[in-house]
Amino acid sequence: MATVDPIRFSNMENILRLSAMISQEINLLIKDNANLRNTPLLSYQGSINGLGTDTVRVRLAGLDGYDSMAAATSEISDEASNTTALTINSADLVAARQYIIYEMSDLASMTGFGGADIDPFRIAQSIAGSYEARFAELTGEAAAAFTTTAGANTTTLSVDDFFDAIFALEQADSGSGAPGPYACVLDPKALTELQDSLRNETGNAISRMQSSMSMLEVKGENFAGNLFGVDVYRSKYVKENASSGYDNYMISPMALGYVDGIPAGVQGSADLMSMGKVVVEFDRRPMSASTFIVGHAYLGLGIIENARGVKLLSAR
Amino acid sequence: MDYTNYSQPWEEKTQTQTRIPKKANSRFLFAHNPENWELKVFDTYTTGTDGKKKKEKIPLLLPVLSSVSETPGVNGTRAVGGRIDSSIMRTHMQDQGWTLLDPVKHDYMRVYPAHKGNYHTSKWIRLEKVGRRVIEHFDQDAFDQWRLSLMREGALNPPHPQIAALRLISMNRAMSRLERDQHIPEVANRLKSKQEELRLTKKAIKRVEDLGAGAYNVR
Repeated sequence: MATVDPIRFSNMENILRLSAMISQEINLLIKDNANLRNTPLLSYQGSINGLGTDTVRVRLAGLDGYDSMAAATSEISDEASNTTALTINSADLVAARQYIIYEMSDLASMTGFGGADIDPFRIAQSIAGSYEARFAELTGEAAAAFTTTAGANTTTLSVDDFFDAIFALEQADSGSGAPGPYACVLDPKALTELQDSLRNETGNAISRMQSSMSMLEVKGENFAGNLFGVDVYRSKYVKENASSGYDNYMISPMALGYVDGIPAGVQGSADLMSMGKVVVEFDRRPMSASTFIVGHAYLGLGIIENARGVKLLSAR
Repeated sequence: MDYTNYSQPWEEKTQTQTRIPKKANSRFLFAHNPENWELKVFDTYTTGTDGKKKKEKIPLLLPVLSSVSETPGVNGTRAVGGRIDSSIMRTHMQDQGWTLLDPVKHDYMRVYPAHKGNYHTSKWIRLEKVGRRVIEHFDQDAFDQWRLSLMREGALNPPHPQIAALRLISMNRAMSRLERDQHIPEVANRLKSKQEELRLTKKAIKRVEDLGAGAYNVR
């Protein structure tokens, strides 16, 4: 039998004393799952449940002033040959399966403290947040296909680039202009570059603007402020392009839309939890004494009208 | 750790267990819309009548390439029987005047094994792990040369001078914001560099007007 003299913590550690007492509460690591899903900026085009297809075709037509009238050549002229063609377009939004899977052993689960400790149910709850993160990621990928660009992959984001993006939306579709409100989603690095550029701004109209000052303040989750009437958000899910730049984006309503689907009445599923837009199931593996926690969602994002969005490039 | 040796040509298959510490992403296509151009200046060397080599700077408008992901659920792309079908997205883009560059034909994609799949990027991006970060090195010169070769070989059409001239409007706007503060030395420097960029852009547009696709015969 081992003896200790004097009695020190180092002698007792791991036998009579704990090397560390773990905290009762599980604290969260930094995450970013904010997105524009529940805002008027993204158009919800419905669920594919019961539609007979995984695709929603968004119909677009030039009505209510899209076409202007013309003067008749005379008061009695026959203008039958000068009919106006109706301008039509469409965008296809396809819902596809998105997933996340965790595996947890029984030993890991049963040794938890109970309550809000990590177990298959807590993981299932966490998956709802994973859906929001995936939504932000797919929004960024969809926006990367906007035709109009401002900024460059080789330069940092500046106030000039921001203005270029606003002007592109205001002049969209041969001068019709995209109706507001506008919102801009920036990678965190691009946001700090824009803030740097604002700090160096010498034009009084901009540097003394209340919103410019407010843009420089640190704020809560993801909303960075309103600059020149554009709501600015930061997101880590802005797409990194293959030319070493970020595909930040500025949009107006109806630039992007989404469809979704939720599995319902799943046959043979013993443990199925519907958590908003996500379905979570447990897949039991008795031979390995573990449980798979499987989250599924069916989601599709896409550009509805290209002229209503601008890609705002900046260097990585 | 430099990950260059673990990259594969554009194929999905990989032969090594080493995985880079990045999340997998989707395959992508480089695409070009005829509205998107940027200025680059190339150095060329010509031999004069006296036999001496002379350096000349040639400004050119190079295509801004978009990397468009083939992710199921994005812009009409779907997963069908174990493969990705992006035909809806491609058709839509081509309707809108985009030129899509085939990764097989133009060999620009590199695939690294990563978390939960493969990480796709361009061959001009070199990945290196420093501490906990993965640092990306981008070979801008090689990328510019490749874009120049696309123009030279006719894979992309030269810019329409009127569309290229739209860039001048935004450049003029940026300069006019600086003009009233040019008594500040830093602003004067920024103004000077923008004026130079404007001059070179005009020269590049003139070159396309005069030579058409031949403007890109620069080596």
